[in-house]
Amino acid sequence: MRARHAALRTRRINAVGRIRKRTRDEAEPEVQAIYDLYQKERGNVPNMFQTMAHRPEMLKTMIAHFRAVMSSGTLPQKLKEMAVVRTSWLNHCAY
Amino acid sequence: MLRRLGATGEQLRSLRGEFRPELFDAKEQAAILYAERMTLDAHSISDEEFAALRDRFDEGEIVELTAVIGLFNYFNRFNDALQVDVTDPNEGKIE
Repeated sequence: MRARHAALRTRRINAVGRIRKRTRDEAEPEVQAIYDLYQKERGNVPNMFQTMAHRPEMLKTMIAHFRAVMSSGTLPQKLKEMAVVRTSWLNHCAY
Repeated sequence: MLRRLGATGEQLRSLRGEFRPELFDAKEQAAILYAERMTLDAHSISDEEFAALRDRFDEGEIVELTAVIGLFNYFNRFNDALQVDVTDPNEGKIE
């Protein structure tokens, strides 16, 4: 199981991805604004966002929902992140 | 992210491997077990399992936790199907 995770991680870091990531230059102004915000907040734009940028409305609303789910509500942030880490590990295992 | 929130290395290893409930408090245990059940077989969560969740969380918290787990199941599947490469946290330049 650990070997499978390691193999998946190696493939993921080195892979080009099946869908081309959209560049900032080619993106609509609303997507550029998102890229700029994440560049400022995190120092990079997540590859998932650059992929979803093929559908700007979906990217925008996904981010809004993502922020609401992770940053609003009353559950402790640590508890939510624990559930996230476990979920992600289980999915890669199932993959 | 979890380390910054105060999780220990042991807890992180447990989340990414054999789960050791004794490393977590009661609410965290309940959340992590729920994440497992929902991720692997949401349809078969029993009334007894759900009652155990209700013992620890109010309805708003259960909705919030369910949304967190659901959201990351969505992200995991999106990224795995499209083989989106892992975002390098050291990468500062976007294309």
